[in-house]
Amino acid sequence: MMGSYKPKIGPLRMGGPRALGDFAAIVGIIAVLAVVPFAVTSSYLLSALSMALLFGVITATYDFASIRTGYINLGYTFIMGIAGYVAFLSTSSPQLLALLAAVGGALGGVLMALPGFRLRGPFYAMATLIFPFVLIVIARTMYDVFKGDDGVPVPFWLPVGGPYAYYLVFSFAVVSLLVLYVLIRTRFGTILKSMSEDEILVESNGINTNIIKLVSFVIAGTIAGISTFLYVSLQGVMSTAVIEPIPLLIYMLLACGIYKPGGVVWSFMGGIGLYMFDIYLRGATPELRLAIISAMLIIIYFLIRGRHAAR
Amino acid sequence: MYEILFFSLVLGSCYALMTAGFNLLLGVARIINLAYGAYMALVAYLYSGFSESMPVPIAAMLAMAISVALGTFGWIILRFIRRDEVLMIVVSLAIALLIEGALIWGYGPYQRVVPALVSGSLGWVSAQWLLAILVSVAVLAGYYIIIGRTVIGKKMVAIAENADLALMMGINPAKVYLFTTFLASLFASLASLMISPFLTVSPQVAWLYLTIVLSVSIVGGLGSVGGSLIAAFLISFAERFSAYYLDPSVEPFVPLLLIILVLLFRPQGILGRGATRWA
Repeated sequence: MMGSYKPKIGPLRMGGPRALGDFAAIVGIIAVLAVVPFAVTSSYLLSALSMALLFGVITATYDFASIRTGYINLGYTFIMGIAGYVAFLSTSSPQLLALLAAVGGALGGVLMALPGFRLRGPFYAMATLIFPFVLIVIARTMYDVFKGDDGVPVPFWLPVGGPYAYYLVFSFAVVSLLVLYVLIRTRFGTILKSMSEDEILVESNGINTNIIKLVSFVIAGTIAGISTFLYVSLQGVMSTAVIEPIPLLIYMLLACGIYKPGGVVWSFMGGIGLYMFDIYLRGATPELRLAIISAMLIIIYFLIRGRHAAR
Repeated sequence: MYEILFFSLVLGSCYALMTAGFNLLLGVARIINLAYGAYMALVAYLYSGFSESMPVPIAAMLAMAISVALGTFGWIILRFIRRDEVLMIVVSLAIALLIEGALIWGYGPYQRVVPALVSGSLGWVSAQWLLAILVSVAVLAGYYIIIGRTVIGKKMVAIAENADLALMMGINPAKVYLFTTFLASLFASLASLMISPFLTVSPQVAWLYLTIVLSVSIVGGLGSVGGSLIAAFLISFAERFSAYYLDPSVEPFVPLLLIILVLLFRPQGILGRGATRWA
């Protein structure tokens, strides 16, 4: 059953009105986001937008590896945690930090893919949910190393709130989005989508789905790792707040359900919108915030039920 | 050394009790309940709140009565959406957040001390420790007697094995599910009363409880009560002994290491049965 996987990516397919719509959306988003610093003068808002862009990228990677394959991963923030801690506990050089965050993200991706080799559906979801929770417990218990909720201080290298930081993040987001967009248009992307429809049929075609899952999570983890490095650099501290699956995961799920599941462009936009909404919600009382977030959870189902209800 | 052994036994018993309810819901009623930890936090808060105005035993009984009634009929809601596991996960997470929000609204976001059910000690052994072990052993033994010797227990096993066949044999699943949710709520309530006095609780303790329940369940086998018993003691002893013999900082890594090992070599868990899984 588990045949050899042919590691060819295959030709890029750009046909169809849907693909053209996505491409037009990408161009439109890039154009709008490129002029933001000219329209927004508040450094706070610019900084918030930069973080929202990064959250959008992380959401797009989540869509690529998890939602697109049908393996609903509830512990995706674990990847951000591993990437952040591996980088910021090891070095203070910005170049090395980015590299280590990418390596940490890839490692987190491997760990997230492993349960998927044997578990599916709700069992996979529950098995992955435990990872960020355990990492939070570790970070709090080993305070001397991880600094718990206070967090590891980040070396200053990025002038936060200015156009330089924004354009750095913007460039990274554009490149990441294009990489993911191109990947889902290749044979590899088609296999990912097919897995969510009928994994056994994909295997019967001689494709080793375990390798596909592993590769998709490593790609997603690497991009998410670099995003986390920039996100934490803007935030100034690597703490358990970065790993908390609630509400970040809820926003990711909701963003991925917007418009159509498995469309990284729309997930990216949804991620940006929901992150900005979260910033707005921070002014509300904690109980109201939790009530709004739990209502969002119910909406998630109705957005993604057509695709995943039968799994 | 004896203290470490005994405390491992105490925590292992509490872990087993709390996880047994979760796996009972999953194994028999096919209910994925990620609000289980929040429910335990609710019990701890109710008990702590009542104990401020009435004697501790009465406060404990009142908290249990309310929470078991809530749980018995509340978890049935999840049963209605059992055919869609993703929806069950989403809805139960939403319920967990609502409970957490209600606790913050009702009691504030502050830490709270939960009084011990019994005070005093026998030598170096705390009376609360002894009570935790005795209650856990008694309840779990009672559970196995119910499963092995009673008609309702055999019906539960039949439904867990094959719900459609059980229905054809004339078993009323609604009654069995109601009894299952009652037992699971009882286990969760008792476990909360036993373990909460060892901790300082806050509304976020719900996620700590859920972490323990999921860790033990994954290692023992999701849906397997027997597996969760073994895993509870395995994790508890491994945590305490690694802290004693290696380094206290190693302790929090133990559950993660065990989970990774289990997922690598036996993803269905120690006593989980992969072939009969429903997903």
